[in-house]
Amino acid sequence: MLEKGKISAVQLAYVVFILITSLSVIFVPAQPAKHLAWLALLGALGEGLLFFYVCTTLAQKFPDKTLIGINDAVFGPLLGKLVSLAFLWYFIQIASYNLRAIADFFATLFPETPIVVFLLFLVLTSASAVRNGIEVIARCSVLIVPLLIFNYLFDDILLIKDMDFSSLLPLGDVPLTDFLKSVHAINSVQYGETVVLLMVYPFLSNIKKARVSVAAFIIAAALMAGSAARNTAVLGSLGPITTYTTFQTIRVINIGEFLTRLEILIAVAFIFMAFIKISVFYYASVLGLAQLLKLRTYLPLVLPSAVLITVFSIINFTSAIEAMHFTSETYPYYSLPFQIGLPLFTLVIAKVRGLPGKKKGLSP
Amino acid sequence: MNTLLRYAALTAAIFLILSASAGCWSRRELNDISIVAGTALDKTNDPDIFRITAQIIRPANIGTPGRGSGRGQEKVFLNVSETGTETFEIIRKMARKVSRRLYWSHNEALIIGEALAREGVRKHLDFFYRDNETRLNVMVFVARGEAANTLSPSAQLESIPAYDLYRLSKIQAVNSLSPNVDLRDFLQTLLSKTTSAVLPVIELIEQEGETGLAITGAVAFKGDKIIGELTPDEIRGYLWITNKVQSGIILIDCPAGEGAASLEIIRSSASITPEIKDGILQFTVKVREEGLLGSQNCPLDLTEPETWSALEKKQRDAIYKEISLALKKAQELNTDIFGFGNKVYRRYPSVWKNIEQDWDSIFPGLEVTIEIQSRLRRSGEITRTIVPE
Amino acid sequence: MIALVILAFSLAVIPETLSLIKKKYWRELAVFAAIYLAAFISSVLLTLGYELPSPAKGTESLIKWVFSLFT
Repeated sequence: MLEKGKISAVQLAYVVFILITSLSVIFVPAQPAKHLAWLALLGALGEGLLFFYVCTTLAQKFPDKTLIGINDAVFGPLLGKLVSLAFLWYFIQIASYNLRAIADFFATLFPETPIVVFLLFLVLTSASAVRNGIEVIARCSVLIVPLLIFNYLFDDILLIKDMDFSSLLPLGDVPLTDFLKSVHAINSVQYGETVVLLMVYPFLSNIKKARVSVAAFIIAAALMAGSAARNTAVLGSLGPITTYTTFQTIRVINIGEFLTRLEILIAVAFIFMAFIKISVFYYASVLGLAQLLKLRTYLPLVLPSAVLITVFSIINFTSAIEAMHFTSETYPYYSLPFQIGLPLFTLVIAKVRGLPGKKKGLSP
Repeated sequence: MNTLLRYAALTAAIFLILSASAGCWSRRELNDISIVAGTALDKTNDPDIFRITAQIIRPANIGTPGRGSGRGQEKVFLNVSETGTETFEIIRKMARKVSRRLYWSHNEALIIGEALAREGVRKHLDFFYRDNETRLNVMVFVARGEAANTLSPSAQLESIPAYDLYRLSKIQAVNSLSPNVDLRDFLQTLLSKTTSAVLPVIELIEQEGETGLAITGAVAFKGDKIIGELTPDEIRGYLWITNKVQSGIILIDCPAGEGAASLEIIRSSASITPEIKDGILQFTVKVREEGLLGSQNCPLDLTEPETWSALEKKQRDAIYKEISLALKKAQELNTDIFGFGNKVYRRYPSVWKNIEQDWDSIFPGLEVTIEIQSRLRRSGEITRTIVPE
Repeated sequence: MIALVILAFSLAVIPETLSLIKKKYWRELAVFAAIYLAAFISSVLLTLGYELPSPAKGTESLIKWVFSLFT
């Protein structure tokens, strides 16, 4: 067994929460939806839950297999490995996109520091978590989530006096196609990425409880929508031109000239969230590769992968603008086959072939 | 559970330490930076060139306020000025004169010279939001004459004029005779195609032989250019309509005409509602206000029920007058400073799509109904004034 | 700069390789070596200033091509 740890369904829910809320702390690909970003976030919840349902159904059909094992079983040894390889590439790319995203954010705050510094600090921290296994990552999530929720609510309350709710009107005025584009883009970045958990489900102590994470979906959606609405109410027409909306919104907080400059809390929260997200995808890639090649341990792969992820982060995008453009324009389509296309297809083929059969053994 | 808790504490501690030690590369030690407290933008004789003056704090001299004649004034701040064509270019040029790098996060006042404001300020403001150090809470002002001069008054309450100005702006709420505009508000009007801002005007005035800063009025913008000045009544009318009145004095004549009374505004709230009746766009401005009798100099007993009602009516009339003056001026200048257009957009987006381009021709002719509900609640510590019965 | 990179990689190799050899994990050592080599080569190239192709750009072109089939 490559991974000896076991996590509870509740711990998984915490991880899901962080996966979903991650980037939204600073940047939500909701440009076309403008002031209806909060509504788009709620709409994406629907799409996300649908994707989640498909993935968990697939996982429950093969309770002891990770995605690699499932692909082998459903598509046969050769084709299955190709599909798995595609997924592994996808996961490692996501790890590098996220790494680049947070590094860009900090580079905006500290412009002279070469981006490599941020990249390395973050990826090496993740590497240490990945080496320790999924249990550690899950436990870290449990610690981090309360901080995040506190942050969301605390900031919402402190900004009440700066909000202009009329900025949220009118409820129309955004063309439907633009709105739907936004909904889908949000889903692909926030909710849909939970497909990676197909690598993690086998380590649940009770696979049937996987859907407990739906609670995480709903709470995360509520908090994110609330925060998007708050950003619109505070920044008004400045919102659409602002690169990091939540950050600028928090900067506005000024209670009695005393509670100011709270934006640092957001930056710190973001570090934690990025850490977990990168670790999860990093872990999935490394574990997956080890499974694919039938290795006895994934540990030796961790460190070189760290370097690879960093290299990808650097070469993928030459500027932050390119990265954001990619996230809102290309990624929603690129991710489609991985988040729903293949899982759905796999599920259908599995049903057609009557899998899993009567043979139930412990396979990696 | 105990070991989990310890593990948790340890992990949390490590994370905190890690995040605290970030920023080593881009560290800015306190003695490497010069903190900018206030900024002034001015026109020069060359149309392509404008001037920026930054008020920088001298940390060594804090604690010795800039007073004391005959001893040689130790100024706590230094004003540095530079010219150029683009904002960031000018700011970097200041490095020729300042030994430390400018730090913008404590900039609290942005003063625009009148001449520059008449030509349009939009193109100079990009830096103040794009840069990562600048903040949206900066207060924005228009200066009578050269803005740079307002950064050097000889008398002030605080050691740094720009911070003094920031506080001065906030305290105007007790009068509600001048607007309080921060960069966030101002930039939103610049982004809007129809709404424009009203900015307070500051100037240097003589006080006991020294010059001090005072807020003396307000100007209305159309887009990013000044289009006209507002009288105090019009300013307050504007504040009534936009729900920005916090406190203030309404001066009214005593009913028998022997003097005046000051009524203090305690509470006020306002709403603007657009309505479409018979295909015509109309607006209703509703203002609710509560006041009390602050002081009087006429010998009448104003707390007599009839007199009291008469006072209330006078209060209401005064508010009505201020609001109609503001509306009239805005329509005369043809600038939507109240955000009427925005209200139409929020409520009737499809209608707005059709009329948005014609707003300049529609706005001056808008019919606005003013509804005021104002009450006088209390008379203070005494009822009858200090007059023998 | 390049010396730093080479040094870092050389140092990092040692503990991992030793532990693998001790356990006689040959297969794992092979995979480790392969990925490590890829990482090392790309890092060196980047440090020397070469511009490596961007997978993201490749994906973008791919998506654009797929779209062109529909329009």
